[in-house]
Amino acid sequence: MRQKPEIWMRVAGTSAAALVVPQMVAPRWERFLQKAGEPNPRPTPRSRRSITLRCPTTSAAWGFPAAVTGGREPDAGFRADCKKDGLRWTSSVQMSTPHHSWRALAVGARVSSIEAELHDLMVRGLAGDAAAHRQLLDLLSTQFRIFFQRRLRVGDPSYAEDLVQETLIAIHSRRDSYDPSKPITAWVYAIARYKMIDYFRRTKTTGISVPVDQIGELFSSERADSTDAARDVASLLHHLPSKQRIAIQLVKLEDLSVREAATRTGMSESDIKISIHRGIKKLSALVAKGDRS
Amino acid sequence: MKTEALIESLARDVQPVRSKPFGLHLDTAGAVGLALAFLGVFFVYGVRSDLSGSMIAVFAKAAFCFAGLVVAAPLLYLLSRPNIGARAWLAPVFLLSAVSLGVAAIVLVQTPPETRLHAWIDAGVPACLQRIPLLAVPVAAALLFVVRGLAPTRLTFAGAALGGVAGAIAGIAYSWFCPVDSIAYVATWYLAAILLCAGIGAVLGRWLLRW
Repeated sequence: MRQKPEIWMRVAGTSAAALVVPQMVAPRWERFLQKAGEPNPRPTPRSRRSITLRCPTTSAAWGFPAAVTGGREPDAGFRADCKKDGLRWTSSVQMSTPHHSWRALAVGARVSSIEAELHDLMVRGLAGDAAAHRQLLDLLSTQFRIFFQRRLRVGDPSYAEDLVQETLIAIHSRRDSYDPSKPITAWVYAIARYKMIDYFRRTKTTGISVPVDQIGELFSSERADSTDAARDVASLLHHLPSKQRIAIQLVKLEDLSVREAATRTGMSESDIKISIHRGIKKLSALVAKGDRS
Repeated sequence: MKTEALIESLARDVQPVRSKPFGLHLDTAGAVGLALAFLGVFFVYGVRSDLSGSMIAVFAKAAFCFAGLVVAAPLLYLLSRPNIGARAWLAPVFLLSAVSLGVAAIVLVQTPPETRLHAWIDAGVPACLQRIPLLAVPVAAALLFVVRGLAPTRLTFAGAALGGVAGAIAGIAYSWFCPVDSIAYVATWYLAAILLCAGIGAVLGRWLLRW
């Protein structure tokens, strides 16, 4: 909704120009003005204005939050790390207002700080700053990795990596179509989303499908495996001398203390410890041998 | 290829990019499309013979199509980019459709019953339903060329907006040929032709706009 006046002006202006005035004049004039040292008439983009968190009781302003944590649980409050007067401030807030408004504020501030960071990098990259551009792609690659892996949960993680790379290439090659007065987060995620849908369309799959020949892996009998493990331990213990077997069984499997095990078996405490040590060594040797054979 | 290596190679040679002025390329493509549509009218159908005596009717029809262009253009501007937020701009489209259908209905009610059918569909199936989409093909081609470069992400919606814009531009050119001046005819069938273009665009968008 907020673009409304801008677009109407554009539409009305350019469509009149298409009929009457040669429309190439306007951007050239703008460029000429910029060359002549006039300030850029483009307004400061919304995302670059500083965001001010205000405490509702004291009305103290905190400036631009670098990071906002918490705000999710009803009574937890949240913390805003702000930079003010060149110093880092950390403000902790306890709830005195309905938690959902704080939460919205906190989430909004967190999103805005990411947005501001990305926007800054993008603008510098568009101006030809290679380091900023690399940093932008780096940041986005981690974000997209999470984005895609969450949506392609089953299947090869290399698909997600392919999508990350495709999206990065798309963002790099289409960055001239980015309008710096618009939010960048929406722009990059719209491209990421498009790349994912394109991938689904290409491979005729959705995020939750698996090839039929791998379907057995989906239903691996893990519960049976865990009871098997207990049975395996029991059978392995039979290979041990009775002293070691009893010591391991009491201390490791039945969770008795060494002293309790000593009183119950009549062995000394150090005897128990040594038995456990040797028994476990022997058990691991047995397991290793079993793996090899 | 490792992602780090990819980033390295992408960021190795970064040239300054001048951000394109908002919608300039789309405007240019629209102007080229309008010229193509006029050429189509002049060479395929020919200008109507009584043009000098009926300029008012021609301009009225062109203005109707221009109104369609004005309501469809913001949708194309928005949907041809990855920024999505075009829903608010659907309202003028519905408004214009409703108003023109309403005008058509009122005019039809006021015409005497014996001439009513003729005023509405002229003679048989309205020809503009077929001719406007045909004229819109070169316009849509010019627009497609630009829109694909702007990275649309909602292909069906972008295709619909593109079809609507192309249909409206084609309609502007077609008014120089169209021999029917009945208000009810124009308000119904020009609108239907433009919406038909939008529908075709919506169907074809997901194939033609992929990038």
